Parts: sequence; C-alpha cells; structure tokens
Amino acid sequence: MTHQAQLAPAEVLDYETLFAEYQTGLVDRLRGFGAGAQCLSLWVPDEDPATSLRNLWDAAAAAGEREITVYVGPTTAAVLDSDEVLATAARFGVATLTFGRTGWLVEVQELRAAAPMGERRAVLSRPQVAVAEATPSPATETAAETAAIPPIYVAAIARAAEHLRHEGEVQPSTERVHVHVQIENTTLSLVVDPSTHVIDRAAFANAPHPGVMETFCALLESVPILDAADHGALRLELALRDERSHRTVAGIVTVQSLAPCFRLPTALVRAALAEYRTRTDFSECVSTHDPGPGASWRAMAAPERAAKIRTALDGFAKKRGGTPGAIELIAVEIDIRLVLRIDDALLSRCGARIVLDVEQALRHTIDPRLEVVLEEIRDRNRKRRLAVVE
Amino acid sequence: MTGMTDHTQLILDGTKIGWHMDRVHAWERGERIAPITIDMALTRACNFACEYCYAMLQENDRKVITRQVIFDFLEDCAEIGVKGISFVSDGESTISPVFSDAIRRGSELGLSMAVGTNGLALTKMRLEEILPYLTYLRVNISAGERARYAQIMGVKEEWFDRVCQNIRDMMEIKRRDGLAVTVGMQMVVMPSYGDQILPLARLGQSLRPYYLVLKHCSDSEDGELGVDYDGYASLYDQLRAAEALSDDEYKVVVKWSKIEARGTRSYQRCYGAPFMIQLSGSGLVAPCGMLFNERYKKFHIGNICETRFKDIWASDRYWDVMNALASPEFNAQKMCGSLCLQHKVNEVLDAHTKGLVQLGTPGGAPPAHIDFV
Repeated sequence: MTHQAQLAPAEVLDYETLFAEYQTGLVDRLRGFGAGAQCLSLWVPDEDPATSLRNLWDAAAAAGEREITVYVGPTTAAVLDSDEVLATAARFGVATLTFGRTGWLVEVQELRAAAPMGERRAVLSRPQVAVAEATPSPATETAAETAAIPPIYVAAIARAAEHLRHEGEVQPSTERVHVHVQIENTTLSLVVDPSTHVIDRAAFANAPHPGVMETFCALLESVPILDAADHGALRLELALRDERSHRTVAGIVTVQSLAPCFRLPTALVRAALAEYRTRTDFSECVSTHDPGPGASWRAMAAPERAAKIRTALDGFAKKRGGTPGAIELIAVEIDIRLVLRIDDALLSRCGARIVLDVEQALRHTIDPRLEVVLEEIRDRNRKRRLAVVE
Repeated sequence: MTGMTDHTQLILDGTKIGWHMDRVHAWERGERIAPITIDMALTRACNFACEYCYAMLQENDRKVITRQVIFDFLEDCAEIGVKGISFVSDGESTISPVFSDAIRRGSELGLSMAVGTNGLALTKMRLEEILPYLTYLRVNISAGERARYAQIMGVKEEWFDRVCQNIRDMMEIKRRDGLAVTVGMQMVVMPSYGDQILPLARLGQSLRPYYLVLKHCSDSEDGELGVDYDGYASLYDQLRAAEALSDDEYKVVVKWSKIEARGTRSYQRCYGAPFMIQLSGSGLVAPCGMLFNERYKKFHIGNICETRFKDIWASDRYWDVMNALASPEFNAQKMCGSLCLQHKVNEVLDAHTKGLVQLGTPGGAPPAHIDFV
C-alpha cells in the first residue's frame, strides 16, 4: 500500500541518522556498542540500503516489537526501488509506504519474523594451494655446500678467527663437570658448574671454521647448558650477521634453516647436553634462562640511565632526520622496558619500523636486554577500565 | 611421541599443525609460508561489555573494514594459500555491516570460514544466510543463569534469553538442512565464575549444541586483567563434573592443557605466528592479538584498509617482524601475555626444533576443522 502525505520525521525512526550513528559508533565505541534506538538492539545495517532496511525490520520483529515506522531520507530513497522496499517490508507484517516531498515513510504493523528467502549462492571450487617441494635430505648435500659460508657472515667469522681465545682444551676441575664431545674431527669441551648447570668455560679444536667455533664458545660461557643447547646456535647466527636485516632465507630463521656452517656447532652443543645428562642427574627440559641486563646498566642510577638513553635517542633521531627530543623517554618499567613517545611526523615518515630500529640501536649502544614499547592507548570506555583495571 | 594430541574427531584442546606438514617443511626450509589460519574481527566494537574482555587491552588506531576491503582481503587470502579464517579476535564481527557477505564470499573463494560471537545479533533470518557457509559457529556464553550472565557479560538479563533462543534456532536450521556447520558454546572461566560452570553445562544439555568448551582467561604480560591462575585449581571438581554431563551428541570439553599451564610457557621463541596470524577489527595486521595495542607498534605490520593483504604478506616488514619473534632476542616467557592463540602451535614447533619431538602427520582420518590449526 502506498500513499502521498506530509511526513512527520520527528515521530519515527530516521533511517539515515540511525545508519550514520551506527557507522560512527563502530569506530568511536568499543564495548556496549548498539544502535541508537532501544528496539533495534539486534539490528545490523548493511552497506546496501535495501538489505539494511530488511535487517532493521527483522531485528525489530526479533526483539518483540509490534510495529515500527521508519523515515527513509531522500539520499537513500534515491537508490531504492519503492516497490521492492514495500514488498520486503510486507514479509514482516502489514506494510505501507508513504511518499513525501523529501523521502518515504515506511510503516510496518503486526511485525513478525519473515519467512526465509532461501537464496543460496553457488560455492566455487577451492583454489589450489601450491604444495612445497620435499626437503632435501642432508645426505644429498655436498661437502662444498657444508663448507660454504654465506657472505653475510664472512666478515665476522674472519674477525673472530684472528684471535682464537677458545681454541684448545679446558682444564678439568674437581668441583666442575667436564664434558667433552667430538663430531667428525671437531671437539667441544665444556666445564659446567653442577650446582647451577651454567657453563663456566668452553673450548674447541679442529674446527673447519675456527671463527664460527670461537664466537660460539664465547657465547656459551656464563649460559646454562640447557639454554645453550636450545638457543646457542640461533644466538651464534645472529652474532655473526653483518646487518641484522640480512638473512640467508626469505622466511624464518630457525635451527633447521640455518646455513650449513652452523650445523656442526648445533650438533656439538646438543651432544654436550646429552653427555652432561648422562654424567649428572640433570633432567630439566624447559629453559627459563633470562640473562637480564648487564652489570653496567644495573650499576647506573635512574638519572644516569635516563641521560644515557636520551643521548642515544637524540642521536638516533638525528640520523633519521628528526630533531632532538623527537623521541622521548616517558618511563622505565621493570628495570629494562623503556616507554617511548615518538614525534608524529617522524613516526609517519619512517613508519612502525622505526620502533624496532630504535630498540636495536639502544640494545647495541646501551644494553642488549632493553625493550622498547610506546605509550598504551587506553580502552576508550573509561567506566570499564575503572571497574576492572584501575 | 608425535607432539600431537591424540586424534579425536574434533580437537578443542590441542593443535592440528601436524596435519599441515607441507607448510611446516616449507617453514623449516626458510620459505615464506602463507598462514594456515587467520583470526580476525570485522570491527573493534562490541555490543557486550564482558568483565574479562581482553579487547580492552588491544586498542589501536581504528579504521573501517568496508565490503571492498574485506572482499579484497579474502581474495588475497585464497590466492596466497590461507586455508581458514575465523571471525573472532577483538570485536563482535556480527555487528559489522559486512559480516554476512564476508562469510559467504570467503566460502565461495574456497576458504573455511568460522565465527566466534556473543550470538545476540544472529536472528533466525541472518542465521539462514550464514550457517550454510560456516565450518563452525561458537557462541561465547560465560554463565548459565540470567542474572549472572548479565553481570559477567555486562548486558541486560533479557539478552540471555535471546541468545539461548538464537542457539536453539542455530541447531534447528542445522538439523533441518543437514548442514555441516559445528555449533558450539564457550565459557571463558575466571576463578570467580565457578558457580556458573555446572548451570551452563546443564543449559548446554538443553540447548544441544555440539560442544561446550570451558577455557582459561588470557592476561597481559603485566597481568592487567588480574587473572589468578592458581585459583583455577579450586574449580577442578566443578570442571570434571561438567565434563561428566557429556553425552553422545553433546560434549563438555575443558581446555585442561592451558588451565594446568597456569599461564606459563615452556618455550621462548614464537614460531607459531607465521602459521596463524591475527588481525584487529581495525584492519591492523599483527602477529598476535596480544600485540594489537599501540604500545606494541614495533610489531605492527600494516593495515588491510590501506594496503592489500597479499602485499603486506610479501613485504620485508612482515618477515622482519616474524623473524623478530623467532629470534633469540625475543623471549615469550617475559615479553608476552599468557596463553595466547598460538600457544599450542608454539609448544609443538619449539619442541620440534629442539629435537624433543618428531613432528609428523598423525595416522587416521584428519580431524574436523583442520583448517583452523
């Protein structure tokens, strides 16, 4: 049924206003979100106004409303077919559509749930996913591949090979456990404190790449033997890279994807752990080692730390085209977590990457255990935060 | 030992990563793998205000996921090899205007689609539209009694009745049309909700979804929600009594592995993120929901409202962030919240890389919902 009449939008639900408020709320509100009208708590609009109106009547019916009147403004009405709108409305009850000078008034009485439309679309066949090729077995690798050193490690390995302080054999001690393992011709010797399971000293012999094993042994000292076996190879790989963003694989660096030159250290330290377990009653499998900050950081008073950080931040900002103070230290949490604020212009120009970069710079210049976070954006629903968090 | 949960028809307390060994092998070779599963929301907003809601800790710069944005995203996912997309994450996706279309479009593209919802806005008409295209639909309902429901979930008491009716409608449509969708319920159990475990398990007996899962509550790295993990021990009797209410067609499942973990992790590297990433309802692409807040901007990769997902996935930034989480400079025991989405995958992959387990495809028929690892 259609009519021509004067509209009284103030007495009815204004669809365009409801839709606009809903869209705004999706961005501005977090919890307790809902449509403007109480009777529409179940309503979910749609970018397509015809579907959106259909959902509105469905929501009102599901909420137990008996009748509803909606004003459809001229902008929305211009893209709708009034006959289709009326037909859809009639699925939910006794419907009338009244044309006005500036829009339509759609009234539905005796609201009820609509019969299902039964519309289903065809489901397309699933796209094919490329199946990765099988992993080559170690047996197929040539000796040349095993010996090859990727370019990103060459310089660091050469530097380490110039001063071989860990080549040879460690001196056994009656109060320590001496672990000695050999794979092919290469040996790894460890002296481990059985009360803490921490490696006191490490040494190697007959390594195909002495610079690799020299760096490895230096990293193993003062580390629990379990942690050394779990994470030593990855630490070694990171320590030998020329640039931290340079990697030998496009994906994730794991023990399995490490270059062949790291396989021997990996195997040696795992063999050492196995040997240590057989020599002692050590059975722990979960490593919780955290080296914490270094002695220099621990010794600094708070003002000294802050000054050192600010100097480093200003230097970093300058290199990225920022002014002094463009990166501010806001707080230091749990001793090593730095809360920073980065100038909008600098952040916008450099992107989120700058946050990881500044963390790396601070770790390199001050302490490797430092962490960087920005200021938290608080939940915009103040009532909830007050009730639950604060 | 395979590192996998024993095969069951539906794995609710474990990981299905072992059924995706092609992707695990590619990851081991250092290749750029597409996520198997993406957990996301279509909006940050929610019509509820649950006490335990983690989303309040995940605020970030909001943008609107329009129909075009989500359609582009779904096409990109299908193209690069994503298998399953669950609308869960940090907002109530069912209140997004693009929700129904996104479900259908994803399914048409060959993606497995799933939803976690409070269930309020899923009227029978909307259920008719979406259920044929879903792998699973899980209703979050953390109480079995009206008054406590309203209190815990921050809504009016009558909404409890509406949600219960919607669950009945889901099951009616599923049975009527013989749909494959799995309808389940989930309770986020806080130690103070012990009084609601059995009432909810009994409510489930009456509503007849396929399962009710009882899970822990996650907390931030600083414990901002104040979850008392030691407090779960006092609930064990109720949880076991709830499990005993299972029958042939209704399973009550407790996520014991996470509850008993008491918020701790056995690993320090996060290897799971490339296999299952999370997107905020703002469009933000991040490795994990616990990193959505602007505080963790160093791990923010991009936004699908601004950049096509396939370009974000192929970018160096994406892999720099993923590598940062897998590097020895990251320690999930110290730098993450508790019991994240990737926790079980992380556990298995970490043990696998250490040689503690031999990860391989388990025998027998693949489990249900295999695209949701």
